[in-house]
Amino acid sequence: MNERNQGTESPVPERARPATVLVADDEKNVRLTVAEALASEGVRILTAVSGEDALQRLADEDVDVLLLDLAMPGVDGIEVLREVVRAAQDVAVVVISAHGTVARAVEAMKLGAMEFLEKPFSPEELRQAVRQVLARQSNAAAELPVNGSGAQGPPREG
Amino acid sequence: MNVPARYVAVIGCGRLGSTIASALSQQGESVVVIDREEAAFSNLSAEYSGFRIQGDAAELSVLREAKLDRADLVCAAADRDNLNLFVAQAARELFGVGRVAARLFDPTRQPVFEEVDVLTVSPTMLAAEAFLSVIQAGDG
Repeated sequence: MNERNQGTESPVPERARPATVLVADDEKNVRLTVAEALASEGVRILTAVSGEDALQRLADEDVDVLLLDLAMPGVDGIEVLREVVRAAQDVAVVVISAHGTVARAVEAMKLGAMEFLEKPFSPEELRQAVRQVLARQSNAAAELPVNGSGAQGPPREG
Repeated sequence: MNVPARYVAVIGCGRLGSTIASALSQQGESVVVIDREEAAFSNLSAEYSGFRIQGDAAELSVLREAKLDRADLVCAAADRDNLNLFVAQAARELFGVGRVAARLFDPTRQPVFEEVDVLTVSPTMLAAEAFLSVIQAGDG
């Protein structure tokens, strides 16, 4: 079945099913930006308009990557991230934050987010970030079959 | 998607800025639009898929926030000539943007913009030309 080389040039690493990306942002134009930027990547895209909505989607769907806006009314991004970590969900979180909110982004990275994108980001920056976390996910799955929690230590850089 | 999207910054999200930003976004360009008033963003079309920054474009920090240093094109479409001149000049000289266009109400100030290599679009001149051609067509 699996005759493909590991080092293929495909943008997103090979997996049994298309990766599912959930975009949680209260701004519609950002959800559109993300959906358009990832349209060529062969991933399934879901959207959430609020933190509550995101948590519901995470409960209902098998999500691989969560693109998470930190500033949302109601349940904000940090709370969603805390919930994801608490539930030990195997979701790679990429934080989206506005300019000048580095402190909150750092907080999110400490909580376990893998990447962070500062608005406004280019479609290519977004695709790179998603490819990177998907690659890291499949590496982790290949190298650490015993560790089922998928928990990632916080990054050690300052 | 053969041609990579250009990164375009539009200053002002009134009738003109929002029309430009919406059209460019629909053409597949990567767009960021800046306006002082949050309410102005409601002028954008429903299909607009770029970014919005609420802030005063007269402040360099706001232009930096919009990542003007990475912009391929800047459209200064605010409703004040002075602001458009400032933004256009900053885009050319501080951020090194290759192509800059500015809306200019007062046509007599065009030489100032030309000096900093900024393309100007004058609503007054465009309207005058349109009026004259309508009038001449009516004469015929």
